[in-house]
Amino acid sequence: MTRRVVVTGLGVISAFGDDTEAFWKDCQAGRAAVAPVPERWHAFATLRSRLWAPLALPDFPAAFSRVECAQHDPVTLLACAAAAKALAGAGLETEVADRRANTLRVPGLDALRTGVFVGTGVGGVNAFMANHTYQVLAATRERCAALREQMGEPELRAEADALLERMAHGPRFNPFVVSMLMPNAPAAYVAIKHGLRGANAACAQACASGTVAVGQAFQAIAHGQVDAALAGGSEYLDDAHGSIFHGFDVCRALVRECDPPAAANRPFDAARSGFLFAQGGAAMLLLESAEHAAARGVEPICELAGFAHSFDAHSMMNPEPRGLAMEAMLRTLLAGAGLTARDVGYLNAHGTGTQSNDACEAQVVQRVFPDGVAVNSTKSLLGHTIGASGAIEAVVTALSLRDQCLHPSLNLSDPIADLDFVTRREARSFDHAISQSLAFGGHNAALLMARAR
Amino acid sequence: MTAGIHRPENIESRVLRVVQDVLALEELPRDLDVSIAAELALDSLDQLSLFMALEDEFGGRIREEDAEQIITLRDVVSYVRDRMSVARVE
Repeated sequence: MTRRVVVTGLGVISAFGDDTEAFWKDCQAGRAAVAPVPERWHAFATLRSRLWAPLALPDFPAAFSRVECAQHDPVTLLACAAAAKALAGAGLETEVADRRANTLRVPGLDALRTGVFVGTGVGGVNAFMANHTYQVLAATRERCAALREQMGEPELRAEADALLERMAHGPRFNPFVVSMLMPNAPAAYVAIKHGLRGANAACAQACASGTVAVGQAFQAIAHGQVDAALAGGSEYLDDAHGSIFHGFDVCRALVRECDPPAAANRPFDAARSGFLFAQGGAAMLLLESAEHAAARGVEPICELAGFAHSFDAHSMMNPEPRGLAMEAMLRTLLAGAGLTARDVGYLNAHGTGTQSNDACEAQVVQRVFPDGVAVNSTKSLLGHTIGASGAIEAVVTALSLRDQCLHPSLNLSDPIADLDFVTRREARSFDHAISQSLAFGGHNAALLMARAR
Repeated sequence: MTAGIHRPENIESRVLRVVQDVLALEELPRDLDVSIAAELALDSLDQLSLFMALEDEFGGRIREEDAEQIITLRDVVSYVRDRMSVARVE
């Protein structure tokens, strides 16, 4: 016996800001997030890709205490900020639990029956990089600065100044770095911040992390382990030297054709050249059992009706070309909900813009949905937020079901497959939708959502 | 203009403001002789938080071996006044 699960609150922090409804309007308007990477990065590596999708970082000092800002990686603060939005969106008020710790409680939730599930691809990598940089450079830079003072030639001094600038580092080796970088930090601190003591899990399936987190929360509620859960994903991939970007760039995953910038990010198009790296983002959903939501008198945004996942067992960075495990996952998802492919009107694709992902994903969608399904790629708007992307796309799918409206997939002028791609904002009538994510490593994950009853 | 920022009373009030902020106190602490561990209830991680905030405020460093000698708020103020090398311009 399983219980119905509904979505009652949504929180998104993205390139479009931190307001969920404004985010959704921007998606429907086909707004694109794209900009040149920080100029400074070019001093440290020869980059093939030159574009990214910058994040509209929230005002952390306004939202969190001085101590919280010093002790948490942005990936954790982003998750907390999105969680706060999801709770507020679900009509749940918070009150101060501990003034010094700046923690809260949520009186409308039973803390022991509320879980937290947060996915992240790499966790607190910003904190790791910053502290590693400090350890490697601090003493060396200090010695170099002393040598610079002994230089008489103005030209030498100028060159030394330029090198010292390149050796810039943060003010300290942070004593909290271990708890900042660990990948379970977002899940842990979202729960600490809100005093939630039910099941708690960090999910690390690279680009599918957010989807798996929402899926695990769904299962925990459906099977009665908890009555409600905050679930989603968070990622923050910025660092002073562009090393994280370089990692994705050097393996040829990122957009290579960068002119004009607005046309660079083109999932499912024949001229695609890679994915648009995103600085970061986060999304959290408040999930509840249908009974729990009804008892609170809150109207669901939509129903979360299923979760399935599978694994390619093929390659760490390429999908298995035939997509057999992906196909099996989708068929399992449909069968588990007692549906057929014809019941699904919309599929929010993984749709990264890499050659291998889009080719594989498109042929699987054609096989599983021979009668057609509307397809778009949210990554064509926001770039790829890795561990946050699945959660952000779950939010988009929920809002698409609520409003019976689909956002356009951008730069799709020469589609690689004969699919029902959505290239302009469209009103559609549909009762079920799928959001799927496919990840480095070989993880496939998909959520089935249904229109609220 | 940097003249005046080393004035002892100025440093003391700035230290106390940082303490108030980190501890989320409703008022500035008045008794400088309270123990930060026992009376202000700062465990070792809380003390690290306070020292990091002071480093951010005053721009210097509190060395680990020195931190163990800091017992009271007065010790904190004295350390900042005497040992932290760079004062931020207000």
